[in-house]
Parts: sequence; structure tokens; C-alpha cells
Amino acid sequence: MKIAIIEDRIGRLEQYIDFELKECKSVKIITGSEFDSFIANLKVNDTKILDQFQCIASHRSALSNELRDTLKEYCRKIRKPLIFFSGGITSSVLKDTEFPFLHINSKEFYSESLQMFIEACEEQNAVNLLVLQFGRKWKLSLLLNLRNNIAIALNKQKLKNEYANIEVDERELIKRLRDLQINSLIKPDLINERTEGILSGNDFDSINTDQILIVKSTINQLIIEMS
Amino acid sequence: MNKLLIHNNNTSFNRTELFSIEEQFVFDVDFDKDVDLYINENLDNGDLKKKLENVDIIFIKVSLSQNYLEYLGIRLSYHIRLTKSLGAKSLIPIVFIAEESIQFLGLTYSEPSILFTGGIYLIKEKLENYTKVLELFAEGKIKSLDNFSHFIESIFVSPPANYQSHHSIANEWALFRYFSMFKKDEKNVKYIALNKKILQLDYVKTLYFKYLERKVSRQNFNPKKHIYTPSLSAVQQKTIGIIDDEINKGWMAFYDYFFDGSAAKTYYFNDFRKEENRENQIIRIQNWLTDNIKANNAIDMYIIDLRLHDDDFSEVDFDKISGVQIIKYIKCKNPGIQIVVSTASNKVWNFQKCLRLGVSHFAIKESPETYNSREESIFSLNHLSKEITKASNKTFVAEVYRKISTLKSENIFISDSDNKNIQELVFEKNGLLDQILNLLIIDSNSDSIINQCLLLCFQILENYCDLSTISSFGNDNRSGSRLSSGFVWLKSNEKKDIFINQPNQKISTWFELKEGKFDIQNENTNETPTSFEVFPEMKIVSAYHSGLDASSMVKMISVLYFRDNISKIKIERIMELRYYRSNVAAHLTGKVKSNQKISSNDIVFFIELFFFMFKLDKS
Repeated sequence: MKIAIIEDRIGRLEQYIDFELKECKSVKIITGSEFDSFIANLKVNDTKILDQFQCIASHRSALSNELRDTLKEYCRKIRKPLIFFSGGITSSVLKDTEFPFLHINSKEFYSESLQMFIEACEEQNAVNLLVLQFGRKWKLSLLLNLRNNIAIALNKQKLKNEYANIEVDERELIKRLRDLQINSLIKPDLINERTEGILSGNDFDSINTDQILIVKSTINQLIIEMS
Repeated sequence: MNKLLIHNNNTSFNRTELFSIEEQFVFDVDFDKDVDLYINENLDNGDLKKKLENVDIIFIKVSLSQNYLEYLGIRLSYHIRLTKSLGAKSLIPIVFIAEESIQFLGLTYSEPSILFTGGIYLIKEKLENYTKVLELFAEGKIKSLDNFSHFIESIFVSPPANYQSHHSIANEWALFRYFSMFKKDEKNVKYIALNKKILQLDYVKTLYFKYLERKVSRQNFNPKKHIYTPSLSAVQQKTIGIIDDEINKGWMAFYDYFFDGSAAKTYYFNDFRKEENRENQIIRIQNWLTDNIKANNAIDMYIIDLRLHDDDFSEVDFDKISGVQIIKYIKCKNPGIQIVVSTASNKVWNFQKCLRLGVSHFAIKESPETYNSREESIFSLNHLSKEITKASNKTFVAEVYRKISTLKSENIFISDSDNKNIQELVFEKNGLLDQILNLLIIDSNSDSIINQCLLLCFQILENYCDLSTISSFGNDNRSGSRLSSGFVWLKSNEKKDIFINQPNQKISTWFELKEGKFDIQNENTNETPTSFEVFPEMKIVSAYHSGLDASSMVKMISVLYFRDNISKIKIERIMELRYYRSNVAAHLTGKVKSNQKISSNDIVFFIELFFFMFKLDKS
């Protein structure tokens, strides 16, 4: 696992973080003359240097619009996680449609969460941008998403049941286990005595409203514990 | 009732049976766009604004993105409340849709204060909750925000996370705030250009800015007290160099308007390159400075920001900060050049260090951290104006330095082995000319410093007149200091007799002193030589003729008039200054009116005189 941090303002890195980022074996900081060389290559669409990295984090303001587009296109093609950090970013937003893409403020980037993120990447050999975005609360975001999805589906079911004139597509409802769309990263946390029988089944096993409410209750409990 | 649902395709309420297509806005932040900019675009002139114009209540999903914990719905609600252009619609009832309680959201969101203000409601994603809200609204129980003043005091919006080191925000805030203090001047193209620049600033689109702006706009604006009209008459005909990395983000337009009407010429270094390293940027600025310093119409005053490169924000070594390196470069080239440090930083220790570099003018740009009242804004603008004026009044020191530097390397004594003493005393390092320059650099407005400079000027003049290669004046041994004879050496190396002793206590002379009173003298003082009359040919007068003694004044007039061809008017001015020197600068005799002061102009007068007299004519 290798992570590239492309930073033209190396002093800021030292200003914000109180751990030895430079000592992390999985991190390569591209700065100084290497940064100049990287920019020169990017200008001619040469992205070979990035192939060795599984995740790229770049100071957004260090790149022109054109170079940002080149970098995004490179990541889009191979679904490589990309992080843009900048002092001008007001809210962190993670999009994972075409490829995992996180916008984050510089100070939030250079924080304890970065250390957690690097350690998580090293341990799991996988990139989880939620750890960088939310730190210790990264699972909470997934749990809230899941609870919200269940609430939506349950309300749609209710709409369907109570209002004959409202058309609800079956695909919008939770009928099978896989419809819950449980992220594999939190699934182990959801398994307990009450849910084991429900969640350990096959993706295509059916699930009823009572079972959904049991899962939801477990999610509620976990959310309380984590918040 | 007209309603609007704002969601990210993440709610069951987006059925057309509940909200028609027109009653929905799908919130989806563009790829690689900042959230605040996206919201601002939509609220300012976009679809969301159009939809909001026709509704009475808004339903907003707390989460408006793929990741619930981002809570972009709450951020959007702040924008709705704080966006001025929405007018009364900004107060509209907002119903959040969330599975969480208010308390939970308060615990897990960094800026929850809006949740606890008027006009905010929270429901869970259930059809009956939606129906209930409609009923309550119809009954008038769901209300808009009714007290904005209370609201703005109840909420808190944090500055962007790395705000402390991000001076762009302070720069943009200062621009916006200063502009708000200017009287509307919409016929002035420079005012229009400045307004246009301010509207383009990213910062004015952020939530934090809107928050500050709404807080500030509650401050009373009293046109009589708070309108600022730029007026910088002191900088007339001056050339001013401006080095500020925010120059292209509105500050050029600001200074263009600020100096408009002052007849000052402004020159900007505006070639800041995003990907350039600090060292190269400093070299290019230095090259630009060198060109200006060498130019015929040299720039003798600069307005400089300390932090000119991103690296400066994390720089812990003061001496490496770009602005500091630029200041050192300028002061090394010419310590008389005036510098106003204009910065968003208010770190006092940096100013103290700047003082040691010879900078004595500082203007702190108003920042969101330090703003408090309209009075402070007007003070800040007035202070900037005063510092520029003070610096402008001292630009003569740069010209003094140039003249002194030239004299030190090209003076008439430089290869004169007979006059090594005066070369050492006046022209060498730490000589009298350097002492004058250093005093002027310290403070050219201080009476005591100007008096000290005057003493030094006369010390130079008297030492020069006393040189045996310049003049010789003898005393009559029988009558003390009474003049017996005197001559000066003309530049052609010819001896010119000014006084010749004659028999019967008579003397032939080329001039005689005229007595009178200077305007600076007190009424009860005696008459004193104030002028002199030069005869067309030598005239025989009594040796006891008033004033014709071997005093340094007689020598001085003789040398200046007959050897150096200094005009009578100038010599008479020197006579008056000599009176001032003897009765104020050297001894406070009370013979000079207490309100009479000399100024730096008088020292400049001497420096120009020395330049004329002592500069080596290479031709």
C-alpha cells in the first residue's frame, strides 16, 4: 500500500501534524523538486509516476484547473481514490460514484485522522476515505446511512400499503437481505444474538418487516454507542 | 400552501404525490466544487432561488450527500437564513427530515446552533409526520423565524478550519469591509471596477463570510461618521510601488480607487505565479525592484505585504519571510526608501523586527478576527491613509541617500592628499554626511533630530571654509578678532583677495554686512547681520566697520559667494539658519520665537548645497 501526498507547501504539513508523517513507509510526500518534476510530467499527461500509489492526495490549489482535470481523469479510469485538500474547502464531501473522491479542508486533512487513515490502509491493505473524513466516527456515517435507507424503504412500504394511488416500485423496497445494502465494513458490528440469524443468510434470502426492525434496532443501539 | 423539498434522492417524500417536480430541488454538489460555492450559486441566482421565491415552507433532508454525517442539509439551512438576496424568504420555516433527534444532531454536528433557533422543525421520515406538518402549518402553528437579531446572536459559524494561517480570508474581508465604508461613487470607473472585483471574491460566497456580514450589517451605519472618502493630497506626484500577493484579487482595484484623485502614480508587482517556488519569486521581485531603483523616476515608497508566498504562512524564521527579504533588499539598496508594511497579520513581534530593518510605517488590514465596529473600520482606513501620508512625507530621505552616496564616491577631496582630514570627517563611512542620513532615517519629524542635523551641516560648512586650500583670513593682532586681510582660492586656483588691510585702520573689501532682524527673531533682540552687499569693486571702509571681523560667517560668505558661486538669496538663507543654529540648536538663548521651527526641508537644502559644491565634476 502506497499513498502519495502532493504538497507544494511542505511547511504547512509540519505546522499541522504532530506525528512523523515522513517516517510512514506507506506514504510518499511529493514536494520540492519532485513536485516540480511531477507538475512538468502532468502537463504532458504523463501520470506513470502515480501508478505505484493506491491512493493520491493532492493540495488542490497547487494544481491548475487543467492539471486537476488530468489527475481526476487518471483516477476515474482506474477508480483510484483521490483526495483534494485545500484551505479554501469549506465542507468535506466524499463522492464515490465514478471513483472515490474526497474534498477536505487542509487542516482536517493534516490531522490525527490522517494518521488513523494511514494505519487503516496499512492494516487492511485497502483505502477507506471515510476514516480520513470522519476519524473515529467513520462507522457512524455508514450506520446513519443504513438507518436512513431502512427508514426510506419502510416509509415507502407504508405509502404503498395505505395509498393505493401511490405507485411504489418493488425494487425500492427491502424484500431480500441484499436490499439492505449493508456495507461490508460494518456488517460484523451488526451481528449479535438477535441479528445473527437474519444477517448471516444468503443475499437473496427474504427479509420481513419485523426482521428489518430488529436490524434497525441493532443499528440504533450501535449509533448510540458510537456517538 | 406552497412547499419545497430539498433532497439528494435520499427520501421517500420525493414522490410526486407529495411534492410535484416543481416542488423539489435535487441537491447534488458538482464534482470538484466547494459546497459553499455550489450553494451560493443556487441561492444567488440559480434554480433554488427561483423555487424559494414561491414557497411558504421548506422541507430539507438533513443529509444531502452520500455520507450522512456530512449533514449538508444543515449547512444549506444556514445559507438560507444568512443569504441577504433572499430577502424575507430567508426567514421561511425549515422542516428537517432526519431519523435523528435534535440532541443527537447537536452532538454529532460541529455547528448545530441553528437547530435551536426559531422557525426550525424536525420530523422523522414518516408519512404521518409530513401530513401533521401540513396541518400545523395550515393552523398557523408552524412559523417563520420572527426575530433575526436574536437569531444572529444565537448562532455560531466557525471560520474555515485552517483560517488562522489563511490570510486570503482576512484580505478579502478587509476589501469588502473597506469598500462598504466608501461613499457610492457609481460614476467613477475605478469604483465600479473595485465593486466588480469584490463581487468575484470566493470568500464572499462562503457561509462564514455571510455570517460575519449579517452580524456586521446590524451595526448602525451613520453616513456622517462612517463614510470614508479617500483623500491623499500628500502623495501628489509621488510614485508608489505596491507588492502584495493578493494584488490581482482586488487590492489593485482598491489602491487604484484609494489613490484616485491624489495624482500619485502607482506601480504594481502583479506577476505572482502559482507554481513558482519562493526563492524564484523573490528573485523576480528583486529584479523588478532593481529596475525601479535604477530608473530615472525611481520609486521612493513601497506598500508591502509581509507574506507574499504560500511558504511564508508556515515559515517560523522571520528573516526568510518573502516580504522581509524584499524589505531588506530595498533598504540595502537605499535605506531612505520608505516602506509601509500593510498586512493582515497583527503579530506585534513581527512589527518590532521590521522596525529594526528601518520600517516605521505599519497598517494592519482589518480582519474578521479583529473587527468590532464601524468606528474600527473607519479608524483602520484612516490609519492606512495616515501611514501612507507619513511615509510619503519622508520620501526625500531616499533622494538624500542618493546624493550622499554620490558625494561619498565622487567628491572634490577624494584624491586630494592635502585634505584627507575633511575627506575622513565628512565623506567616509560614519562621517558627518552619514550621521545626517542616519538621523533623518530615524525620524525626520523630530525637532531635536533636525536641530542635530543642522549642527552637523554647519560643522561641514565651517570645516570646509576653514581649509587652507579654500581660504585664509588673518586677524589684526592689535585688535583681537578684527579682520586684517583675507582671501579665497577660486576653483581656477587663482587667489582672490576679499579684504586687504590698509593704513590708518582702513580696509578694502568686496562686501559689507547689512544688519537687521530675521522674522524668526524675538522683538526684544538686537539687530544682527541678515544680509550683505557686494560692491562692484573693492571699497575702502573703516576696519571697525560693523561685522567685518574674522568670524566664520564672514569666511562663509566669502567662500560661498566668491569661490562656489552660491546665490545671494541662498547665502542669506544660510545666515538665517546660522542664527537659528546659534540660538536654538546649539544654545537655547531665547532670541528665536518659540513657534519658529526648522524642518527637514532645510536639511535637504544643505544636502543640495553640498552636492552642488562638493560633487566632483568628472568632465
